[in-house]
Amino acid sequence: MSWRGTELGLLVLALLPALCGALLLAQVLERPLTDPRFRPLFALAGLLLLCHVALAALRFRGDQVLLPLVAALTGTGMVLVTRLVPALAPRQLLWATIGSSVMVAAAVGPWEVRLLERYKYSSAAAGILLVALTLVFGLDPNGSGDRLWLGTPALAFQPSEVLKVLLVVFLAGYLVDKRELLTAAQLRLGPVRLPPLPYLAPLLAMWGLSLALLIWQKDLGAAILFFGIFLVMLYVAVGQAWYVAAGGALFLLGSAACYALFGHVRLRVAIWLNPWLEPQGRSYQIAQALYSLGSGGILGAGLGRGYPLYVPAVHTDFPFVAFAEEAGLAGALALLLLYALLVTRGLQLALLAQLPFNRLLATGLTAVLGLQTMVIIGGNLRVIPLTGVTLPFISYGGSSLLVNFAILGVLLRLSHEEAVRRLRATGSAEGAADSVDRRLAEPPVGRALQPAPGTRLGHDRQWRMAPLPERERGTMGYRRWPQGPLSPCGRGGWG
Amino acid sequence: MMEQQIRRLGSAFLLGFALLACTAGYWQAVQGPSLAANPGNPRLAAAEQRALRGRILDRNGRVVAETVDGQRRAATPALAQVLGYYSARYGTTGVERAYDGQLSGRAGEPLAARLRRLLLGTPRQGNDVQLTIDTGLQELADRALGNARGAVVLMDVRTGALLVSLSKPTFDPATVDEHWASLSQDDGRPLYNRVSQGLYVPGSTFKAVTAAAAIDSGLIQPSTPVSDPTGDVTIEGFRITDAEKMPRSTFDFAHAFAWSSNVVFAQVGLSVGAERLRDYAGRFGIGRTLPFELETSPTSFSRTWPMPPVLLASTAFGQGELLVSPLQMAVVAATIARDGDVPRPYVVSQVRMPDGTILEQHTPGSLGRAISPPTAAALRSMMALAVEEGFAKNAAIPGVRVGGKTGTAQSVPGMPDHSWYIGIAPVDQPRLAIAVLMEFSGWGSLEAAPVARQVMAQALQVVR
Repeated sequence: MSWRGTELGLLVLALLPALCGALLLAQVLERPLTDPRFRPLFALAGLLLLCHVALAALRFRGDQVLLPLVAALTGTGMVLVTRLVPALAPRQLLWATIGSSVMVAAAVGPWEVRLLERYKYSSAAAGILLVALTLVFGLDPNGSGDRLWLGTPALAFQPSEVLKVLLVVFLAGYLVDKRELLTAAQLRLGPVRLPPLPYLAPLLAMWGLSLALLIWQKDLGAAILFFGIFLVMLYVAVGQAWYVAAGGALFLLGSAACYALFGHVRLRVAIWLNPWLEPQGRSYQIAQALYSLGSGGILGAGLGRGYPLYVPAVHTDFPFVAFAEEAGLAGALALLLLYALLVTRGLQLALLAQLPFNRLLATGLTAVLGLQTMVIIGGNLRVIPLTGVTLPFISYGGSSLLVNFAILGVLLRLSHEEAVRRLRATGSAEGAADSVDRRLAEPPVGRALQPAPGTRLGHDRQWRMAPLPERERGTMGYRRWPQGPLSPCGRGGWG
Repeated sequence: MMEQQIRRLGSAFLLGFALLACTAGYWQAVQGPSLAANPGNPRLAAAEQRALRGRILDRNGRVVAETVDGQRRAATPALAQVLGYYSARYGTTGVERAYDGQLSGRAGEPLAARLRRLLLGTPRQGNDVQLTIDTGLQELADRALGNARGAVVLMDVRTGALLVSLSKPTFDPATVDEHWASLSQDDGRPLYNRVSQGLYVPGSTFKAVTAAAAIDSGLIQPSTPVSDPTGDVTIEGFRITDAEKMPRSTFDFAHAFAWSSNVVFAQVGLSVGAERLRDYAGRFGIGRTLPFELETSPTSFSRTWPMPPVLLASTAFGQGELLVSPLQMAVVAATIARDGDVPRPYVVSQVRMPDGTILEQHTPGSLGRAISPPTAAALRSMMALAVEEGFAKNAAIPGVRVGGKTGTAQSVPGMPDHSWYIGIAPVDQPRLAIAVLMEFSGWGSLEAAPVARQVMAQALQVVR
């Protein structure tokens, strides 16, 4: 049993808006709080508290801020669904239950995050397979014209959601594995240094393939997301700033090509550029979204008092706008702040992680959440054309909720492993008792992480990120390195 | 290891979120008002629906104005000027304007309910306004006036409540927006409320005021003998004539009233004097703006002061520079009916919440005392005489003793005179007072009096 007081306090605070939302809705709709439509909301609050209890009971030592942040977002999402489409609230609760179970299992289960490194190629293959399956067997349960779902009409899930996690796992593993190889300058094109092609090629191939498939499927949002994730992880892993510029150029090229080739891309861009051209026709959705935003004003129309339902598919595509209309600019800013905090916290966890794979994985997963949020809110606010991605934890959507909770579970697991390492380093007696923690003391898998000869096993001091002298900067923190032809020592590294 | 990159990534994300925050601020704060008011925004119509402006009901509880499908509708054009129009573009008039706060629910809300509503963001619920107008009588008056332009005012003398407040030509308040151009340029000026805004020369109906002033001052009695042998008199070189030849050359003052002798009244006016006549006129409300819920124009006794004798004389028999409204003359008649107490005219009796709770209740009031009860009784008998033997015969109702006074006012050179009538019934215990004005219609006895008869006869059945 670990005492997680901060988490409890923050969790209660985070659930307050949801409960206030229930109270307000009850007044506005003139129904008692015992009305069945509010049950999923209260059940969700109970569920999240239960997660906290489970974590505490199972001696989880990880981060205490992530769960309350997600609870605040999920609670807000549930309030919105209850307000917009109450009939869908029980399903949202179902997926939240499944998701939070997966989250807790991932957080305290008998595994280690670094194991994911082993399955990088399997992840990539599984991802491509999923996309291929969707191409062939894809369903369109919502009648939107895009067959992006797998399963049965009753229980369908979106493979692109899982795909993005698989991509992050693959990239994290691959990039860490090949990192020193990628950064070793083999080609020079003037001032620019390119990584060796044999190692860059598979990356580009994998990435290009997934992009092509997504674009063919008209899942533009996922395509943008994938592009972004790839770029982010590549930049973080390899550290060359010009990659971002090259990526940006590639993006523009690719976008132009798509624009030229595909009618549906042209349509999206046209609607984005001028929503007032056909406000009753094809740009109806974004025009209504803008009316909704404007009608909210600064303080909002009031929960249950606005007219967010004029926006088509508001609970899946435009929940941010619905919230902004009823809670006003104040509410919208609060929501943005919550997401910013979530991303910041995730990146802080990445910084705390010691293993490079863990670090990159945490960064990638956080980037997924952050990028997805920015893409959908950007589309809602007409900063970029509208795409079909979901707002994490708030949009109505089972697969989205499930996958995002799973991401959270992995992040929590990471923070737990780091916390345990720190505890062990300070010689805490509690840490030694846990069998899992003992296994953490053993050397990790993977060639790149072999301990240097002469170091003592069972002691984690080698993995401490002490400040390094200049010449050893590029050595991934290891004071000794297996000597070999490709050793980067003395080459001046990067950064 | 990757630390710097992760930090930079974090900054990039924060920058991105900040950009989104600014964009949200742009749409919601900067563009908010214009988006909210944009005609393509379906919320405007929906909010109008939801806001449920209160209804207007007539005396009998019949709904005469309500919002249907976001549009304000009136039950009949006869009530147009009383109800007024309610237009987003052209504004509000009539009861819609005078009671806009109550109809929209902005005024008259109990504090506890108001706090609750503010907290929840519940839209306002409009309150209902009940009029004193009887729709049936109003429509009867509308038909009785025919194609003439003018006004009919019918008042319950016991309270001051208006049962009829008709101004013609009328219009349909629901279509004001579409027909604004033609309505506002129509030379019949339908948007104008002739009842309280229209100013006309009263003609011989003003003789009631002159007579009241003279009798109340003790200068004359109904039985005082007067003479009008030639049908004309010259005052300071100006020749004043009777409109019609008198049946006799000597008679009493009461008959001078009944036969509307300008000659007699010119002389009576001179003896009353300008100051006193103006003072009495003022007591009835002439020369001021009558307190009334709807748009009212100030009436005028004269523009010239001090008054030269000719002006005084012609004022005394109802010409001069007098300008009065039909409502004002109805008040004059009602005062005479009420033993000299001037009633406060009103059209709204109650404001109620949708659940029936009474928010406002109008209590009848008085605007002061104009003449003493004996004077008023004398006036009543003279008015009865005017109907029995005088020019107001066409206002007589079988079985009821009616009192009245006709008027034929000079209008515009070259145009027919305005036709006036004021009356009360029953004379002995008066319940109702009426004023009828018909523009450019000729003789009061021939035009206005019959209209008054029709309306009064029906009204006496309706009003107990």
